Amino acid sequence: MSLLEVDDLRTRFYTEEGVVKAVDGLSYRIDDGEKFGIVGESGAGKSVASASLMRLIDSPGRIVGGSIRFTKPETAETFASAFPDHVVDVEELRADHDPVDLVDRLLTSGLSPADIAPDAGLSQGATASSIVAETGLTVRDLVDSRHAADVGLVDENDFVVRDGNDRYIEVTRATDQALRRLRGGHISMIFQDPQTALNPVYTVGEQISEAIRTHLDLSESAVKERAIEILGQVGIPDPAERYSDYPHEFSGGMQQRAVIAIALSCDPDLVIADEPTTALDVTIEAQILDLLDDLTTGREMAIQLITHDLGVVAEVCDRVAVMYAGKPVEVAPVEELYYDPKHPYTVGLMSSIPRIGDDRPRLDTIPGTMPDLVETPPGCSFHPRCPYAEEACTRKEPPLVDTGTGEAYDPDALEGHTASCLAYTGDLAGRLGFDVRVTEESDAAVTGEENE
Amino acid sequence: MSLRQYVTKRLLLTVPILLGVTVITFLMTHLQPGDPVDVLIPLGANPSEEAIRQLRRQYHLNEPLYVQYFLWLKDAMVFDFGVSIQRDSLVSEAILTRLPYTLLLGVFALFIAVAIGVPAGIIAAVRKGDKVDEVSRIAALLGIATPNFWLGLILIFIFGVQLGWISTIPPSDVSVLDPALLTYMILPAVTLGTASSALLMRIMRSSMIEELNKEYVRMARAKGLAARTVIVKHVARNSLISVVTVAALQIAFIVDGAVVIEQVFSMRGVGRLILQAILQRDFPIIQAGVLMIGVVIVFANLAADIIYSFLDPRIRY
Amino acid sequence: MSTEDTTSDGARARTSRRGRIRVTGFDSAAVRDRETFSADRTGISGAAANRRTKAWNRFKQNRSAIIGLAILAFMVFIAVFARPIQVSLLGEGFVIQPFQLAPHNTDTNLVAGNQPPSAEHPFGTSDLGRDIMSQVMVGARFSLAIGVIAVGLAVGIGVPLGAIAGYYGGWVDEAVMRLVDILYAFPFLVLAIVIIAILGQGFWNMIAALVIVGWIGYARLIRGEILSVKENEYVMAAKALGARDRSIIFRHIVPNAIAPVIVQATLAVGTIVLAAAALGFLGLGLQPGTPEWGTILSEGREAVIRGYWWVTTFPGLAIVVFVLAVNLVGDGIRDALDPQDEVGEQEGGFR
Repeated sequence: MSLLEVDDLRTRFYTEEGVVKAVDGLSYRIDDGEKFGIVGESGAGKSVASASLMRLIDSPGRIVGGSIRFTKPETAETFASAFPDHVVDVEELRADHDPVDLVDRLLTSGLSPADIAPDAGLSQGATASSIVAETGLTVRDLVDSRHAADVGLVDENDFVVRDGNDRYIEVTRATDQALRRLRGGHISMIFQDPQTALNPVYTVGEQISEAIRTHLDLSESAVKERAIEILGQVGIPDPAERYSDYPHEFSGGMQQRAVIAIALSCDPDLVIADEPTTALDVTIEAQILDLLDDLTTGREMAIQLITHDLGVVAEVCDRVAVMYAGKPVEVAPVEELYYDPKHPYTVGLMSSIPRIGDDRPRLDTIPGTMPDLVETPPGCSFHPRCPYAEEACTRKEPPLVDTGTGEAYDPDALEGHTASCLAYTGDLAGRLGFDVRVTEESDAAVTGEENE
Repeated sequence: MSLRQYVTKRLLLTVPILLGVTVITFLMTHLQPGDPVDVLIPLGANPSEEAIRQLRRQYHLNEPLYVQYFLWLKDAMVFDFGVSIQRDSLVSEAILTRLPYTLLLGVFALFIAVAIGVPAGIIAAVRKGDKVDEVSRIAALLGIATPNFWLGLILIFIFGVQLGWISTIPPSDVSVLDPALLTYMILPAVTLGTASSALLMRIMRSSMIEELNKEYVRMARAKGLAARTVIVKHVARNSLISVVTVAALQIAFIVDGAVVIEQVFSMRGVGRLILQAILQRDFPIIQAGVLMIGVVIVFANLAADIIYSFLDPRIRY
Repeated sequence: MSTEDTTSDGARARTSRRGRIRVTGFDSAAVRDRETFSADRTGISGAAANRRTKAWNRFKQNRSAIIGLAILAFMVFIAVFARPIQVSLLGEGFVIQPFQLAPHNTDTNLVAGNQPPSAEHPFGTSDLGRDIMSQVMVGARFSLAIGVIAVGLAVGIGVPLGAIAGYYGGWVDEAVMRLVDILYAFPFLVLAIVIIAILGQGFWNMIAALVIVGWIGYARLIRGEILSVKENEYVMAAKALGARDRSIIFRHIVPNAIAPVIVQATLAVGTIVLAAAALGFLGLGLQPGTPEWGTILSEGREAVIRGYWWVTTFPGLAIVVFVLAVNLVGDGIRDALDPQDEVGEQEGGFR
């Protein structure tokens, strides 16, 4: 069952140098208990995308478009009862409104048909009724989209949506109070560098207790008890003793365990792990990944794992999105991505991993660097670094399509394999001349090596 | 390292500095061009040969320099600085009777500086880039650019001369905590605290901005804490660590200011005593006064370091 | 190596087996070798401008810093042209600057004392009958000269001492830094007052006092910077190449550690002018009657109590404006030299 639905997320930073399109049209789903990976080089927009989920984007950054829906029904229900003034009932709206009218209102407010139903290939002059007829747009679709508030269908702060038994929280519309309840309580985050993520002047125990105190209605002694219990679960020896230690008295690996303890302390539904092992020694990396895997699997928590390391993804995730320059370039189940990569960027990432026993004369790394997100290259933003690029790649921006059928990306089709490359839309004259070879080996050996 | 060990270590480190302070103060009279005995003779006086010999004996001027230093240091340890040249009193007495006034002025001013500077710095950092920040930035720059003696004169003119709310001369012969004196002290303390509060505000602001960008702030927010809690409990608490160091440096700044402000407001304090002594070339008083100030500042820095170690657990271990 | 399973581009079927994956054919050389695409030829961003140009561009965009710079330029102009400048050489006087902007000659043209501001005397007159506006204009010379000379000398002493202490460490460092610590126990102004009490009054004695007190700040600052720069690779490289210590310190280390010193020195011009004015006010500055801003104010208390507000107001305002301008420029330089702060500008703020 779906837990998180992100549609067409756009986050921008308005800097002196120009507008940085840090996240530019990201859509994906995470199922309950699923482990989803987002991979890419630094600067690809992975961290901004994750911070956007918790609305932790500060000025001059802003989420300018898209929808983030937290769809766990139980959680949505508790928010509905806690914030009764911010609930939208789609059934009522359906009775009162006709989608054609609403679309018409959007059109007169100056939006183009493509804004209202992207990816539907509508002509510029489409009328409201033809849009609704062609796309089957419903009142619910409009509520889900960001345009709902524009036409006055819902209030700017109406963030809990009910539709029969369906209910969700629209994070982009959530009030500050609701956001605080969501952060830490239902979506929590594990940070990259535990040394800077822990406040140096408070004890580790206090920093865990603080989260518990904020979200759970427990007595002070019960708070402490729970914090100690979690410290033990993340593998800190003598948790009762170490509770009153300061962060600098912990080793790097222990600090990261403490950060994980904070993230898991209130039993969230989704844990966002932002490069959780990058700052750690390789020997500790595997332990931390195992710990994360064990604890979340046992509690049925979903993970969104952000990393630049394909090996880490292979270890933990079920499905993966590869991001480049703020956009998703390939979305696939993890096995598919590894054994059958489709996008040249993914291929480049994989071929640049050094391996023991490699007989290539040199590594095929990806030439150049990630483009400046203020002014991305025209057409496919990867073309300046892509060995298969042609003139066409500089003119047409490749859409994300199913690599088998060529149909537009449907985020709800979880088993689909999609990539954004002109090779899959029939616009590329040549072919993507790479090979993937698989050498049979035992699982253990693979896991061991992919940690490099 | 436990807190006690830390304090002990820190105390031991102050000893050489204190000794250095005494050396420099002692050398002051001996760096003068000419015969050191000249500085011991009151201006305009023409003492006999015998009186000069008597002075040389009294101040051990015939001994080698290092012997003179140790003899002087021995007396200084028990607060014996001899007799003032110009006034017929003990140096220690002259200083001790005035010290409370200066201390009161300084503490009052430091209180004003912290009470205004720290909250203003927090607000400016949180509202960074908007009007409030801009206004406080300009106010701080003006506070730093304004000579304190000039600000004092302007305040005397407005509140003393034009409005007549306060007297332009301090109440005489009253105890330190007399209400009349405390009232009179408001203007000098405000004058003295203004520049310090401007400096503290700027430090607090930049320290807050630095801390606000740290990962633990995002972590605290990701826990779901309210913005206010994040700022007060996490960010301000960390920023205070660097502010304490600066506040200790402010003590030297405030002593400087007190010397000038006591002059502006005709107050009897150590600063004014030293100034008068300089104009009268009364070196025993200058020496004792400067030594007092040096020692007070060394101990203020020590106190700041100890407070620092309370605020920052990383120092202690 | 066991059997290899090759899947080609055309027939890549899903492989559910786990095994060692190897990708071939991602030929990065192709990118370097091919011709640039037509769309990419235009609009290639120019090479990164060098650091100094970038800093200057940032400074130019800082409105308050430019205002500060304009005020300083105006004050320098006034200082130079307030009164003719004459140099005597071999017993003969040469006028090298003939203009006089100041309305009155305050040495010779004495009028009725304590007159309030009027058209003739816009800032009023002092108790001795000097035109205060002319005094303030000529006084700019003293304050500017004291500020610039004292800071220049203090930097000239503090930077080499701090650099040597930081680079060599050991007993040199110990000696210099203990002296710095001890001098730090005395407040700036108190120490300057004592030095003047020993040396006596006068322009150069005042500068000497301010320099003796002022160098310690730069020594401490540059030492700290050097300790952090010292371990950098380019310094190691220079050492490995056998460069001499002196050349390493002054050609490699100091240029990289100097930015905070420049900022500090700029701001210090303001501090020094304030300190000099305070000394003047206390009667320990220049000879009474000199139109230095602080010295003009030395009779300020009496004037104010008798209600002659203009005697103190205008010279004081001149100090405020000058020091404010210096601070605006100093802040501008800091922001321009420190791109980290720029990042702060972007990331700061808090909702």
